[in-house]
Amino acid sequence: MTSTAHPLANRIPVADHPALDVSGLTVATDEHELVSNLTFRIERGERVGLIGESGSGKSVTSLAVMGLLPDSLTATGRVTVGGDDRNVIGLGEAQAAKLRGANMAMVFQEPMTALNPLLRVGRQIAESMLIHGTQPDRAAAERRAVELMTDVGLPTPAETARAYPHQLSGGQRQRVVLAIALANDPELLVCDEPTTALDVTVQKQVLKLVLETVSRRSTGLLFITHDLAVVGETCERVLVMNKGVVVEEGPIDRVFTRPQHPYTRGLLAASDLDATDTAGRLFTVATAADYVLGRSVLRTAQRPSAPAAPAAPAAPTSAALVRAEQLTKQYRRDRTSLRTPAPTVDALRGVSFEIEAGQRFGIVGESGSGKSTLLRILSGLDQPTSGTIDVVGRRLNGARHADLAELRKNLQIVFQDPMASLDPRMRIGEIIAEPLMNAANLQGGIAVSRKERAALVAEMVHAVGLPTDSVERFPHQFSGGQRQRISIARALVCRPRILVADEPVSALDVSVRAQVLNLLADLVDEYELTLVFVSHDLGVVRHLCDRVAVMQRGEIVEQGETRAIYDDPSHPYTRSLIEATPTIRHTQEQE
Amino acid sequence: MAIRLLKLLGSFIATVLVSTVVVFLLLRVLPGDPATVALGIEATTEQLAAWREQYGMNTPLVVQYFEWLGGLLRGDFGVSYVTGQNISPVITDRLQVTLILVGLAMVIAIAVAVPLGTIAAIRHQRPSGAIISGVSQFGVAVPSFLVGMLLIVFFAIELDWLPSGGWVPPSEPAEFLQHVTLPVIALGTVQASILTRYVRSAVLEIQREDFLRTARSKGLTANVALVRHGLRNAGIPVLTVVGLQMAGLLVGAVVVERVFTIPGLGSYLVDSVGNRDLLAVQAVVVVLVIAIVLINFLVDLAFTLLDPRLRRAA
Amino acid sequence: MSIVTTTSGEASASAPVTAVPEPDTTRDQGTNPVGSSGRRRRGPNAQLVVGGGLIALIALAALVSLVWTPYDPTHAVAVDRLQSPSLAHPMGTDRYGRDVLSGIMAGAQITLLVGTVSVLIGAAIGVPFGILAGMRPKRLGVLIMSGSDVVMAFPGLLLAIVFGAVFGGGTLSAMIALGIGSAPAFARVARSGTLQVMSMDYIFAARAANRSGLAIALRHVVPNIGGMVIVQCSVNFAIAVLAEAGLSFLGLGTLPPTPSWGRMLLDAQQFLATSAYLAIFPGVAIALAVLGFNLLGDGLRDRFDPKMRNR
Repeated sequence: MTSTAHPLANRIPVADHPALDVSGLTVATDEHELVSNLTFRIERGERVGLIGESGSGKSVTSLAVMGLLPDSLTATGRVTVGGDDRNVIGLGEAQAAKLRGANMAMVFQEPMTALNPLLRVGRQIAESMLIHGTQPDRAAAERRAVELMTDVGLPTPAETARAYPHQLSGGQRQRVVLAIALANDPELLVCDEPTTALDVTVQKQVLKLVLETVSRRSTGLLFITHDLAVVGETCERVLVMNKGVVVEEGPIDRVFTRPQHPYTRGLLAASDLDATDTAGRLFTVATAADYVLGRSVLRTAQRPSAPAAPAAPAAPTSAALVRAEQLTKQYRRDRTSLRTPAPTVDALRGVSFEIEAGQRFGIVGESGSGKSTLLRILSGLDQPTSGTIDVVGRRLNGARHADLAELRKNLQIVFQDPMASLDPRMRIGEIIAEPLMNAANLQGGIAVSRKERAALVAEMVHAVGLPTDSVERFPHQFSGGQRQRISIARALVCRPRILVADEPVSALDVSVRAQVLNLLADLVDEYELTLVFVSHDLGVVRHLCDRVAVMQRGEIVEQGETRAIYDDPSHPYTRSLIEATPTIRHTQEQE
Repeated sequence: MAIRLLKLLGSFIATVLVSTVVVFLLLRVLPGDPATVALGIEATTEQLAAWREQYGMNTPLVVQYFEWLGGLLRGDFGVSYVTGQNISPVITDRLQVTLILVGLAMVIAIAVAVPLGTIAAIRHQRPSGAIISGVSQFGVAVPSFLVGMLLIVFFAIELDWLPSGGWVPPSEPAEFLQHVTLPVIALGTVQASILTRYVRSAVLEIQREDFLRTARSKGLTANVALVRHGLRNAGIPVLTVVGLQMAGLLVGAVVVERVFTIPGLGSYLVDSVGNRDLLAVQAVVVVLVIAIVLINFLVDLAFTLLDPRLRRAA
Repeated sequence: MSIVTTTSGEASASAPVTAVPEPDTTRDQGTNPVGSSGRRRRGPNAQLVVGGGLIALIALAALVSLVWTPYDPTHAVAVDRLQSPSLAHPMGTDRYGRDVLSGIMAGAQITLLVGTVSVLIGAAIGVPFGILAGMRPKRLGVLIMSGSDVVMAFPGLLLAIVFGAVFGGGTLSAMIALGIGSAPAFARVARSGTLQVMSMDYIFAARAANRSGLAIALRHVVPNIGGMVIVQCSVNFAIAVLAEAGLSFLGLGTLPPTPSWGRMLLDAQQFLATSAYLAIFPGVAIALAVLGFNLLGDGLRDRFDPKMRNR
């Protein structure tokens, strides 16, 4: 890469130019500004985080820097990268393309779609070098691609180079994207939520890789994320963006411990899953004033009735509400070869657990851990291959329809994706009332009149904190957090005994996340629910649950009281999960 | 990959077999007694029996089906009981003509539609894109036989450049070209319009893909990224449409064959329908149906070759 | 066909600075940085208006022809044969002296009848099977779609010709044949829409709430795929209009003396040298009808399918 006749030699710098210099950047649609008068610099080798929630303008900023803004947006201001003093804004596609991939490069959020599905990944990496002429021919470029793949820690790089994207995991694909970005040794690396779609353990590896790479090459890093904890572990300096404006800027340790702006303070408070207010609830933007930075207050969401110990198994002999013994589930995949039989996938391999009435039971696992399969079996929507499962005294495997009906009366679900869990063609009132349409769901099994239904719906709408007139509106008129409230209302309208929450906050902004978690905790207390809470996020489970089961590859590797497991994990996988989970506390405590 | 090929082949054969049963039932069973159809209602019982004997229709239907299927496999469709002609050679001749027409029309359609559709997508917010889009919208709406008639009015009658109809086989290239030009343009313009719209929409769809943004972030301009990374991906849905068009044209070309008095397969079919020559109709229909299923099969096969996700080599 | 014109690079630096209340707080997915503005609903789009207008015009002609046409469209007047367009006969007369305008007005009836009936038949067969195949994608779905593949091998036009051979042609057999021929298209659309809907969590929720399969189909699937089906209806209407014209042109569709546009083109064929207008007017009528339904389909697609918006 350092041959004398380097085609990019002319960009090699006067020593002290910054990696990125943005001044007065404004991006707007026809109607309004998405980014207003943004000014900041990133020095060579400096790592700067840009934090914001959805709609803050952070992604638009990254696209503007890269000269990738869609035609429907207009940008003004000045953006220069590295030693090249041309303004990226208004440079024109042909000139901007010469800078992209050479002076600056980008890693995107969604690794599953970021690569061309029809081309081998080695060629996709090699292309970067061929475009900018940093390698003389395809053969050389592909050799260099294999070296780069080694650099980003891909196993068996020579073989992986010949793989198509669909043959790689999300983490591997993100490494390929990183190799593409690094191919020409850019002065600026822009990462837009690069690990949001990845599991925590993979996230940790990818973040580490990004850190190592930029420091080794003294590349400037612009790291865009909604996740304060990730920024805390990755960057030196941070810009907090809200509604297109940077509200606060400074070194990470200063901003995380002594935030000047109330919005920053609110974000920090809502992100801190270790801190609760006096009622045992998470801080929200509204209550952030009481948040004491960097000090643990209480660990789990407390119930007012039992302040000290959360519903310890007082009578362990009492019948468990849910009892699973040696559950297994095998799926058969389609045959891919004539010689080998159809492969089977063990989604669950002998899972046993008990959940007692009133417990808040967390199930933690990464993708492929089997938690979704377990959830489907638990809610009677799938059958185990072997083993037994009883819910509220009913055997579910081999259950007849009536038994399943009885189960569903007692168990309801809140889903992950607020966009997919509500029928867009139904009014909120109809959505919440849907479980009431089947008399079998109702305690006593007696159908209710339209009027009674409306009253029950209104009660739930009130209970989840939505305005009364919501029932007349459609899902698209609500935000993600509000939609989760609607989901919760639907789940509780029949007064089930068990509420299953499947990653209910993982698609929400942090400030909304805290509100929804608090609502869940309140309702669990109020309706005396047994909560089964499935999540990939240890912090959330730790806050909300009193027991936890950690799943890996279809097995529960460890289960027990939440506090005990977090403080003293016995299984190596649990330990690696805990270590991999970024927390803002970590950053604050380094102060 | 082998598994997928076997599956495709299996479903191809199954579809063909079921289709032959459907054709047989439609044309041998539904119309009633073929002897009466052929000889008319005045025929005597003896005449009918003799006729059945002659055409092998005095056996049970299942036997008749398998005899017919056997003939089909040998390429022998028997003798028309209306014209007394051997059907198979007629079909071979006629099929050749139609295949030439359809093939040339699709070549023109693809050659026109791929660049125009791509441009229309790239410039969809500019006048040139809107014009292509609007013209193709009109092109889709005009029946091909009307285009053919208008072409005759201008190029055969007004200008007298090209013949208004008839057919000369490719063995006489100059004459062949003169005769084939107008009908191929008539078929090709309409198909080009249809395909342009699909290419445009496939390219617009592809432009939204994340991997094109990745390609641009490497340093390709938007247009180069689209050509290098987008078009092959967009080709997959477009290929489906091309297959459907070809299948549709095998039958649909008949209207243009009629306008230009070309002896194609469709014309033979329509003539046989007019003559109540059910044996010939049955033969033509089964040939067309098998050709259509074959085209669908080839498209599926092409997908497997184009898209590594479908190959999944074990 | 978006009307939005845009500029990149430097432009209006003095955009009004408005506070943007961003109502949607779900996490920024990075894929649509344009936010709400790119998906905003506009008023009735041009395609919808033009398409609807053309169809209304044809429907009006058909309706008026039921009670009044300038001349009797089937009445031959030997002395008036092959007259060029004039005040008395705005579109001229054919070889029997019949008024072309009257024939075109009356022909609109057949066009709309064939389109409507064949679309209804196609949708009535295809949509329920498609929904079923989408809700039971394993064995039943595979079986249904294999059946659909077999029907696909018989395009509507071929089926109509076969029916012509078997039943002797006519409008009714054409409508049935075109209807059956279009059923696989409806089944495919309904199936893919249903598969999409069935993968949504709200179906999971409905099942968890003990809703029956029928209730799920009627309350969730049908309303959500309705838009796609209506678009398909419009597209197939256009296909049916073309196919009916082709069939009548082959002499296998609507039988004389009932006026039909395709038949008029067939009759015009031998007078191309002298009376090209005989082909032009019915030809334009067919093209406008097809254009109308295609535009309507595109316009409706913009309405119903957010993914297809901004085209």
